[in-house]
Amino acid sequence: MILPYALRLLLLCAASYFVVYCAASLAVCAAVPAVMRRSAWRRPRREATLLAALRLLPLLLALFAVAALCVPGYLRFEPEADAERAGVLSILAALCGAGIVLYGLTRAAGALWRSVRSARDIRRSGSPIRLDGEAAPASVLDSDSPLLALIGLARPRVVVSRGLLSALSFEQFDAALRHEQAHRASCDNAKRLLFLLAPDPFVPLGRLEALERAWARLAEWAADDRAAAGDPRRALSLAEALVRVARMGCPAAPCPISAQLISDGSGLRERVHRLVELASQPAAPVNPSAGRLLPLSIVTGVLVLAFACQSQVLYSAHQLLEAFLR
Amino acid sequence: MDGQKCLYSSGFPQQAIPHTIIGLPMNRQTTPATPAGLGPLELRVMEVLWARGESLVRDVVDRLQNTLAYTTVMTTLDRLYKKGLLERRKLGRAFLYAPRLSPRDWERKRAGDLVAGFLAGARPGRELLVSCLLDAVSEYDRALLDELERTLRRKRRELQRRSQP
Repeated sequence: MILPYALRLLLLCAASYFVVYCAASLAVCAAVPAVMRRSAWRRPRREATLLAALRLLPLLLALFAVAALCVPGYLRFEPEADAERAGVLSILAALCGAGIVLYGLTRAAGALWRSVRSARDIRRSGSPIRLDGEAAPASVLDSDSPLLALIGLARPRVVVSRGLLSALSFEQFDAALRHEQAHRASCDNAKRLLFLLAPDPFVPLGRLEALERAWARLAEWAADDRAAAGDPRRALSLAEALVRVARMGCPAAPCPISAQLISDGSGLRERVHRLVELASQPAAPVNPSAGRLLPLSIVTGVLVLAFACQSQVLYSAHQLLEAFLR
Repeated sequence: MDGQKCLYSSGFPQQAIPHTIIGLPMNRQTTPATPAGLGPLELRVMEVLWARGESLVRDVVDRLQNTLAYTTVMTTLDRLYKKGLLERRKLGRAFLYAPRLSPRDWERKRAGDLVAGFLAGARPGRELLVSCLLDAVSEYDRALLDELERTLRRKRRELQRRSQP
């Protein structure tokens, strides 16, 4: 098929996105069993970060390939000559790539829209309340179900039901609130949205879904640890709050992108036992390397980008993509 | 093999459930596979084949320590083949039999057939199954929560004792 300059660039972007996305997804799928075997009991935060990074690796690599290699290489080395021929394989790959991107965007946009609408409804129907440590007022819902959740993306807010407020003691509610604040500090809702942007191209393997489930479990553990902050009494209060809420029944999630105190009862036993263990043992020292992870990632990203912008690298990448296009 | 035995020897007491209730046809000769309807001898033969893999009738008889006649075992194997649980190929004048499902797959299919049978059956049967499952789950939940609460109370007492001078 003969395509003009701009359309060829679009085709190249979509096709290279598909190839890199699938290759990276396959590599992540292969790595999942080994990663899941690692013990995360004592260091859930680090392991949760690792799992989230692995889950998002295909998306990040594919975006990097398109933004840092494909587009600059094409604009720099492809002469704006007449239209050129594109092969069937590259057109098919481009269609699949566009399909993956559109599906991811649709999922994320749908979840975002439902979340925004739910958050608006909750704010309208609930009454505002000032909570300790909360910059924005939380919303209290007139409901008997034991709801405590963090909703929203940019400025996540706490939603709490009257049923839960009346069921928990002051210490228990304080610990539960700290748990939700820990989810906000870890940007867990934003990560959930990013996961939606990166659909699993190998659904029958079920590996990326398993990775997501494992991440969700570890994110809860990490939030528990952060809420307890090495205080045995607070760890115990949080465990008591979890059991009290579970006894009242787990409510449905208020919106697709939200963090709840208990999303379902499946991991309750593990969480309570971990908190009891936290209450028995002195707090583990905070790993200083965890705080350095973000700056380290940024520096690595900049270095890789600088390398990719090298003329020779761009030219090689362009040649490779040209061969693929034909 | 012990682990495998656990998988297929524990489970629903299939003998106690009539086929009409679980929604399976009564004429088992014509159905491809009805794992829920295995008799004790058929189950023993299946266990031998899962342990040994592909076997001749003689191998199965030997493994059963000659407690059964050759023809009885042959008939049982033939019946299992007709039920679709075994596959066979000719070796000279004899047949070599091999299981078509692993113990785990068989157990899953058995449970699936049982549940599907209930759900496809008459309304009371369906509701009975769902209500039994819910009862079992909520009973488990209650027991789990009681246990967790006891642990927490014990821990709270420990903490209070430790904090007292």
